[in-house]
Amino acid sequence: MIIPRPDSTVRDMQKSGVISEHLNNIVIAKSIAQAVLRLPWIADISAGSCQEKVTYDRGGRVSGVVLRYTESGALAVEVSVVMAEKALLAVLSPTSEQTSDLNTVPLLLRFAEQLRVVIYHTAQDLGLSMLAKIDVSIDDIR
Amino acid sequence: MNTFNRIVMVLLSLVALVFGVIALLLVSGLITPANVSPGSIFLNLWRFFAHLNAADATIAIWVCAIIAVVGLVVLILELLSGRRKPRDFVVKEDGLGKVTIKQTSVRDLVRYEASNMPEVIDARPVTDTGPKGLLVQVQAELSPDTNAVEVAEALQERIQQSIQHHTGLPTAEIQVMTQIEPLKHNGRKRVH
Repeated sequence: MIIPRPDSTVRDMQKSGVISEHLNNIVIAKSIAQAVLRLPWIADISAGSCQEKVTYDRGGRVSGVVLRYTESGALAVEVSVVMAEKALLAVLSPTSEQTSDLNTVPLLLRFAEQLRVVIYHTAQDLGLSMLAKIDVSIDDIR
Repeated sequence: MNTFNRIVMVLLSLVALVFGVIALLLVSGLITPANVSPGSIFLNLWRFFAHLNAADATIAIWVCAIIAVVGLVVLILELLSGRRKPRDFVVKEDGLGKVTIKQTSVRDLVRYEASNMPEVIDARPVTDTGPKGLLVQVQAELSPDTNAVEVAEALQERIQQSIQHHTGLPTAEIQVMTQIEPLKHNGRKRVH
């Protein structure tokens, strides 16, 4: 599966001056959310059910993305997603090439790893070199 | 709710419960303010409740009873919340982070696999987690002209492989209960 590198989203924001030296959490969370939504098998970002997952800062709020900073200043990201049923069924169907893939890694883990790569690239493009961990929560399949 | 919030809620509910009970006992005259004021702590407050006139005492009894009941209910809920079934299954946790999936998504996966078998008209899965892994119970409505034992075994195998292939979650037990009668629930039903 080809992973779209979110260059256009982040660099457009840099060129237009939206991203400055003083990144705030809203900018980071929005960039991550937009990059995640570009993946074909992601239907939506989920705000969570019993515990709302949201980033607050000056400039608003971003649902479905939670940013935390460790003691060492590294960023920990938590993302809740809703997977697109059609994309998932395309993989699950008997004719799908990927079901005959000899890769023994479970499907959801492959999706989660690709999601992590996208988030990692987004953080790198924003100049965030220290990324502690990325938690992925699959809240629904729609 | 995180641990700190939970501790705060437990303490507040305890305070409400204790306050409500003490005030009730004072208003009803069963105890005196001195009984509940070691070192004269809150003595004036308890005297206020003990010396209420009849009309105010009636109102105070109702209010204090409600406060005590609410405190008790919240306390019970907070103490029992740790025993609730987890809503998320942890698929993987390592130094890079955690990958979780909602129980409802796993149930959807089981339902999808069951619906792909032509002998299965409808299925209702229930999932839980045990010490050795995932526990899956499936109630399946079958076509009348099928061999229930064979279909149940095939469905068990299918579900086990699907969960392993798609999520990697270890499955401790998969129970399949078959029936001919239609399942009674509001879920989606496959129409032939």
